[in-house]
Amino acid sequence: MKVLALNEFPLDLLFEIAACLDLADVLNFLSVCHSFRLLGDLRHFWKRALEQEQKHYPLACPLGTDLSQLDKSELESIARHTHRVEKNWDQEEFLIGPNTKEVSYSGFGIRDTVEILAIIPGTSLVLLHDGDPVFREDNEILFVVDFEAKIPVVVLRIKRITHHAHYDEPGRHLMAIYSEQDEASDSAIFIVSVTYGPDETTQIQQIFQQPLDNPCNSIFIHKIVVGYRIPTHFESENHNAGIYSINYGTKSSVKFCFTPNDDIKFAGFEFFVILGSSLAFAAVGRQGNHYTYGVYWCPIILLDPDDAQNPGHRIDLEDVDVDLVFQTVLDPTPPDHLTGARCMFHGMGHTLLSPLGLHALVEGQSSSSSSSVQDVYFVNIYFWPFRDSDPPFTFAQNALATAYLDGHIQFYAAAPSGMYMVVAMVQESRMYPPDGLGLFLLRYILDPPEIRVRRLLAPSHFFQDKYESIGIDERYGVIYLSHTDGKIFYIPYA
Amino acid sequence: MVLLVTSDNEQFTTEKDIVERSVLIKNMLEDVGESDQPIPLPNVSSSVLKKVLEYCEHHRGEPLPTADSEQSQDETRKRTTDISEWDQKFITVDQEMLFEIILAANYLDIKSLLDVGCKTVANMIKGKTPEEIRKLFNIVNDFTPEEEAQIKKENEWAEDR
Repeated sequence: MKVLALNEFPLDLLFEIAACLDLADVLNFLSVCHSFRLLGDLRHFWKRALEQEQKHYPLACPLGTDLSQLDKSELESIARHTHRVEKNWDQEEFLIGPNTKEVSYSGFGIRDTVEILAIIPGTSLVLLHDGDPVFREDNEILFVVDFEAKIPVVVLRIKRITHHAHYDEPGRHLMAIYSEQDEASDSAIFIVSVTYGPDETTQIQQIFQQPLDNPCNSIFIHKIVVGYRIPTHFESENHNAGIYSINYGTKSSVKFCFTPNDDIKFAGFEFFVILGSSLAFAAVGRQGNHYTYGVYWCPIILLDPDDAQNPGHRIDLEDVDVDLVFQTVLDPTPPDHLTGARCMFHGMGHTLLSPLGLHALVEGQSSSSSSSVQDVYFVNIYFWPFRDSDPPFTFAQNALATAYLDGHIQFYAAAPSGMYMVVAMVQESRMYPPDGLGLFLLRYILDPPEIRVRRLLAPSHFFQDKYESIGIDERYGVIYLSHTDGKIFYIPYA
Repeated sequence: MVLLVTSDNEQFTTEKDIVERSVLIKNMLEDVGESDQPIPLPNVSSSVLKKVLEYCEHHRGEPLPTADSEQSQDETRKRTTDISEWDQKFITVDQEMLFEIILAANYLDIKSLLDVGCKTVANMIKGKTPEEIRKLFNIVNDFTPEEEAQIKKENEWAEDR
């Protein structure tokens, strides 16, 4: 009896063999011959490969979905994308793709400072904002650039954008804006909608507006509610303080009185993020050289004023299951090569919450006693991963991952899932000569927690000091950079 | 005692609790009840059955995997180095025998042996390029140049969107 060759094995046995392989080996296996390649037609083949991968790395799945909800081609595309990132990551030099391209937005009434506000997932649309972040102007412009059409497609004039938040649903991107005016009574919350589709013209329009007398310090949007927080003042009681949410269909609102504990009361800032079915908010306090980070969460359903669960339009802290899930104090630990130097934190942290966990980028400065050597700037990066993907979250307290970069943060952006962050820095340190703008890709690994850092190897004209802002689209592996010359660059990294 | 007959007509006598590691044989025995009838195994040759019985005898008395434990087995499956020392030694055979053991384990439905076999093949594949895999298993590259180009494209930079 003739023994079967491996390529004559039944498909279910080939599946069993492939199930023992890493993603990179799986893709090599598929490229051997026709009979192995047939595995690639099976949805559960890709699902299995990604499930294995997911134990170590977060995956660039569409937000709010897990693998069981995705079809074969989506699973395959995530698997291939993940592999391309890994492959590039393992190269000696982290390369950018050959199909790097640019779109010009000059000649469009744009002044000179353009900020990338959002990259609309699964599309070639990028939402940009023209308006000086310090000297806010009355006639700021929101516009959308389509990288397929290669032109700015739509424009909306809007007043002073102070805070913004985003929510995506199929065919529509919603952006909540807080516009702060000199006259408090002119300040307002807006919602702008960007509608798009394969057969539709992209449109941008304002769909909601409500005046806001008290200045707010952060804003969120989720499905039918838009919300904001009015902060407590430092010493005096502010009876308006709290988190408010408005159902922007019915315009009814609810107030959520949230009083952080003493540590958090002197918070430098607070921010929101929608994680799973909850609104999570983090607060950062500073006491001397220490930072205190707190993460709280509250089920989003309670923030819908039209939900039957809160007829009184008011929620108190005692009424809901708001948890302080995490609190820590950081010391300014200098990078190893600076040990011995006097180190201090000089910048308030850039902090964000993502579905992966809490991230903090804290700038530090190391001064040498000798005046002949200039100060060295560095950024400590901290990452506390969540144990679960939906609240109630638990933190692994001892699972802190850290990394550091040399230089000053110019701007940074995080992917919505939190698995990637891109940081543009001006590098000036003893370790490296002043080097203009450096682009770094940070990748967050869950188990064990780790931050991996690579510097992107890009053509020299990318490192001129002319960049305005940055964005990252993890599903396609693309970084966007806006340029003061009136261009926006599309830079694939996978 | 159970009597097994291989494809090359050799007879093997073995004990019930050894041979019942094979779900196929276990079910057969349950179906025929107490009987001295030999069980024919037309898909297994004597040299392979000898190896399989050696495996079953060594693992005699160990709990059989149940549907419940399947999940946790999935968890550890990827750690291919988990093959125990005895199994490792047992499965150090030539390629032909390895494939025959896998096919027999599949036919006889001996999950743990199938796993050992598949993991061993996977370990051989690990870290190899498609060309190296072809060479190792003596597989002919049957792709057309167009298909080759397509495969190359899939594994390089993402296409423009």
